Formats: sequence, C-alpha cells, structure tokens
Amino acid sequence: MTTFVPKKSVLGVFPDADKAADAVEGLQSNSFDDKEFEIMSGTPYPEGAFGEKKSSHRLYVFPFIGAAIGFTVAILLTTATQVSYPMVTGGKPILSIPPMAIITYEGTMLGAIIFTVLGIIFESRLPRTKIGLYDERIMEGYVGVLVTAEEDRIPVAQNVLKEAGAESIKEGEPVGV
Amino acid sequence: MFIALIPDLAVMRDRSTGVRKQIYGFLSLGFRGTPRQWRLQAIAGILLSALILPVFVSVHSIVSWDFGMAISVASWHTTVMAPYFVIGAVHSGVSAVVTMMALLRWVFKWDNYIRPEHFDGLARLLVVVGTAWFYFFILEFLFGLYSQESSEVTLRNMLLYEWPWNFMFIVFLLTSYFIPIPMWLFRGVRRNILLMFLTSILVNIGMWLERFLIIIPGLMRKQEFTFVWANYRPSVVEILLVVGSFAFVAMMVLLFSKVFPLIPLFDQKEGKVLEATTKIGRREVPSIVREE
Repeated sequence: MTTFVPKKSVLGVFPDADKAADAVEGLQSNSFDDKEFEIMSGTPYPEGAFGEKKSSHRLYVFPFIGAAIGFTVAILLTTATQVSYPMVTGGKPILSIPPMAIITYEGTMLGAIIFTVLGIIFESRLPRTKIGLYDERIMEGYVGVLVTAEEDRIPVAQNVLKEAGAESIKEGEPVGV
Repeated sequence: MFIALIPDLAVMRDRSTGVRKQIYGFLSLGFRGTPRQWRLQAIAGILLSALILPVFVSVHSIVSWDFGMAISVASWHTTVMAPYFVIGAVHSGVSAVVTMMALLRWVFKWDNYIRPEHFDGLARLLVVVGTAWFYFFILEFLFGLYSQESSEVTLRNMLLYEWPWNFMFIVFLLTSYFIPIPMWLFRGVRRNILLMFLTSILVNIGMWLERFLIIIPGLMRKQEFTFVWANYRPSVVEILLVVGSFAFVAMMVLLFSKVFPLIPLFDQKEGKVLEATTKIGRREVPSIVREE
C-alpha cells in the first residue's frame, strides 16, 4: 500500500541567472526530477541556460488541424449556400468553383491562425486562474526557481536554494509544475 | 499582437495595483515566464508571421478584384489590380510606420530604442517597394490607353489635362514617388529623422490621393457623350466622415500607447542578456550572441 505524502512548494528568488543555474544543478544532484521544479524569468534566456531539460510540444499540429477545420467549414458553407438557393445561370453548374476557392482559402487560413493562437496558449499551459507561489521581482530581472515536492523533501530543496544564493525563499501551497 | 504582448502584460500586472492589476492580470493569462513559455513565444512569432503574410496578400488581392471585376467602370477593369494594391499597401503602410516611429521617438524621447539605422533600413526597403509600386502604376495607366476604349482614354485625358484633377494627379505623383524616392537614395536623408518624417508624410498624402484618384474619377463615368457626364463634390457628411476616421484612428493609437507598451520590453531585456563584446586585434567591438 502506498502512503500519500502531501506536497508543498518552495520558491527561491535569485538576482542572476548563474545562481539560478547553480540551484537547478543542485536540485538535479539531489535527485529532484525535472518535473518537480520550474524556472521563472522575465527575460527569454537561451534554451538550456539553466541546465533544464528541453520540453517537447505539439504546437506545429495546431495550424494543420485548424486549416483542415477551416477548409471543411468553408466548403460546407459555400456549397450549402449555393445549393440552398439554386440559380442556374447560362446552363452552368450550380456550384461555382472560382468564388468557392477564394472563400475556402480564406477559411483555411483563418482556421490555421485561430488554432495557432489557441495552440500557443494551450501549449504554454495558459490561462492560469491562480498564479500560485510567485514573486513580482521575477519580471524585474530576478530569476525564480519553484520546487514542488513531497513535504519531507522540502527542507532539502530549501537548503539547495539557499546554498545557491537565493535572495529570498518563500514557502506555500503546491501549484502544480 | 496579443500573443506577443502577453509577457509585457505580465510585467505590467506585477507593477500595477488595484483594478489595473486585475485587468492586466486577466490579460496576461497568468504568464510566469517559464522556459517553455518563452520558447513557445519565439516559435509563435515566426509561425504567426508566416501565416499572416499570405492572408495580407489575399486580403488586398480580393479587395482589388472588387474593383478589377467591375466591367462597366473606366480605369477599374484591369488585371494588374491585385499586385498593384498589395504593393501599394506595403508602400503606404511602411511609410505610415516611419511617420509613427519619428513621432514616438520625439514624444517619448526613445532615441536609444528607435535609432537612425532603423529609419535607414526602412527607407532602403521603401525605395524598392516604391519603385515596384510605381511600375504597376505605369502599367495600370498604360493598359487603359493601350485598350483605346474611349471611356478609358477620356478618363486619362481628364486626369492629365483638366483642373482640378490634373493638379491632384501631379501632387499624387510628386508626393508618392518623385520627391521621396530620390531623396531616400541619400544616406544623409535616410538617417535624418525630420526628413524621414516629412517624406513619409508625403507618401501618406500621395497614397491617399492615389486611392481617391482610383475611385472617384472612375465613378464619375466621364464618357464620350457629354450628357452622361457627372461631377463629384464631397458633401459635408462625407468630409466629416473622412475627418472623423482620421481622428478616430489617431485616438485609438494614442489610447493604445497609453495602456500598452509600444516597444516589446522582453526584446530589450533579451538584447541586454545576449549583448557581449568581441576583441578584434586591439579593439573591443560590441556584439550580440545569437542562438542557432
């Protein structure tokens, strides 16, 4: 039988990226899994600057799904409109391809763009209704390292953050990494 | 634009209080700047630009086809309309950006952010775009004469020889091409903010006149029989609509600049993080680190 150990979060705020990278290294060497901590910064540092693992995403799938949906909706809309009001002009077919092509193109692109925007938000794990443990200095240039782990491992994490040079350490309820 | 604003909205959320904090907090969607979020921000910029560009071209093409397909209106029924409108939109749009850049630089004293080299780069682009646009303008003008249809020839006669159309036509040519483009060939002009401001305003005036000269003379239906001629004079309502639309756009730009950052803050911060100096011989040269 597994025992349930409640989780807690701890946030270390670092004045520079080097110290935050040291903290990440310390956490990794203390057997903290990459899913148990995350880095927060107000600046887009180069990928892997903190020694974190590269996370995978599926953003590139979203435009294709959106394009397929947009294409289908546009075809259905243009076809249904013309079939609903069938007007034979000069013996030509009811469905007129050139105007349908324009609307289908626009529908496809619109679907792709809308789904890309939604995909970016979704893959960024947004929107977050509760921001959780956070420090406003992060957007001012500080770097935050947030650890969420079992309660009994929190003191180890705190120690690692302190040794790496965290300017302040906050403790709080788990926010989910 | 909203996606690119999210990180800056998070900065504003953290720097504001009360209702503003709530509004910016709602708009920033709880952004915290994790490496994953930053990575997706970078991809989003490339992906959305790539998707928007074909839409931009198609939107202007379709608008132009509304004119091009109008068989009965002189000067509209031409196949060159789509690229002519697309390149015209770039010419006037980039010029409007230059105008706004100069204004923002003066008003907010952003000398360190909007620099002469930015104006230089845009002016070089405008020389190419403006010349391409002028090529399509010549084609459009000549196609009408080449057709030898009386309505087309009469309309062009009117533009060239009849007051006040000839005056507007000359002003249009001078302001949209013959004054700004030769001036932008000189580096001193391209890097002079005041001259760039004035020349880009000229292009805006010229391109507004271009649209006026496409729409109004065609609709006047000036043909070979004098009894079907019509003249156009703007009514008070029309003048107010034009003035109102200019005022509305200006107000929206000012309101936007009041509540949202106009220069991406994270871009500036990233530049600071990545800036470095490289030693070449005995000199230290400023450089920037780039990720592949």
